[in-house]
Amino acid sequence: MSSPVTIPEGFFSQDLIDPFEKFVGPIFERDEEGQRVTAFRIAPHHLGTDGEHVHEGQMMTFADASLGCTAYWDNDHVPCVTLSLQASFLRFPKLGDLVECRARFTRKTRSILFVEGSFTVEGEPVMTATSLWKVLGSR
Amino acid sequence: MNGPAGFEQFVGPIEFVQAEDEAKLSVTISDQHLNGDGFLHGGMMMTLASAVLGQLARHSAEGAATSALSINCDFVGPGKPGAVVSGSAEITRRTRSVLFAAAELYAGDQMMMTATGVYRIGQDV
Repeated sequence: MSSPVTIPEGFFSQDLIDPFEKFVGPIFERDEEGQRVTAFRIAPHHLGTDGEHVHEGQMMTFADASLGCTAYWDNDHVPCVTLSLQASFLRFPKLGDLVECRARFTRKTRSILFVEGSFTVEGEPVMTATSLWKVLGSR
Repeated sequence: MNGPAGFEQFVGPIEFVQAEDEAKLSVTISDQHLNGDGFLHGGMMMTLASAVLGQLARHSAEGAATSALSINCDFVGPGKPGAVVSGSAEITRRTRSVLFAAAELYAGDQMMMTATGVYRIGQDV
């Protein structure tokens, strides 16, 4: 969305390419001693059907984008696609919360990447995600 | 509140149909739903999977609060622009406090995603 958005202190706004990621809102990034931290702030259009908490789909979209950053940028920029993504919802953040993700490889093979992510709001765990990625051009 | 609102309204319009034991949805893939390669973005696929699973969970809960505990999505195939996505979700098992459900998404006649969800029914204890 092109609505004015305040970039959280210490972050920069990612240069998003995927139209759907641009559509659902900016994703922020900062470096934390070599660990990439991605983030988004929960806006009214991210809310679930209860009108109070974030929608699972937005959380999983953010997970796909964030874990995908690790799968692509931390694997020599080799294109890859999501094969599977599982999310466990520990608690549902609310409007205005800044959700952060820290992702890491659990295993890399030539053709398959295993990436997991921890999601927090103000340091409190809100979601964990595990994912599998297919490295394109590999067999 | 029932039916699409918030995020589901924002990414939609999504059409929902609720039968007795099955929830269905449909949506047409538009430009804002795509990834950089011009296919349906995985986040939109997972949004639709969680939307149809959530619709089923709310219907099954008969007014009690529901909350997703776990959602697993497998990316079986791509979704091409302009295709109509249809999704359906069915109950696998329901206990007093937990619902297990499974969903499938198709783009036209091509399977795109299989998903399972585990939902808590009622308030946390």
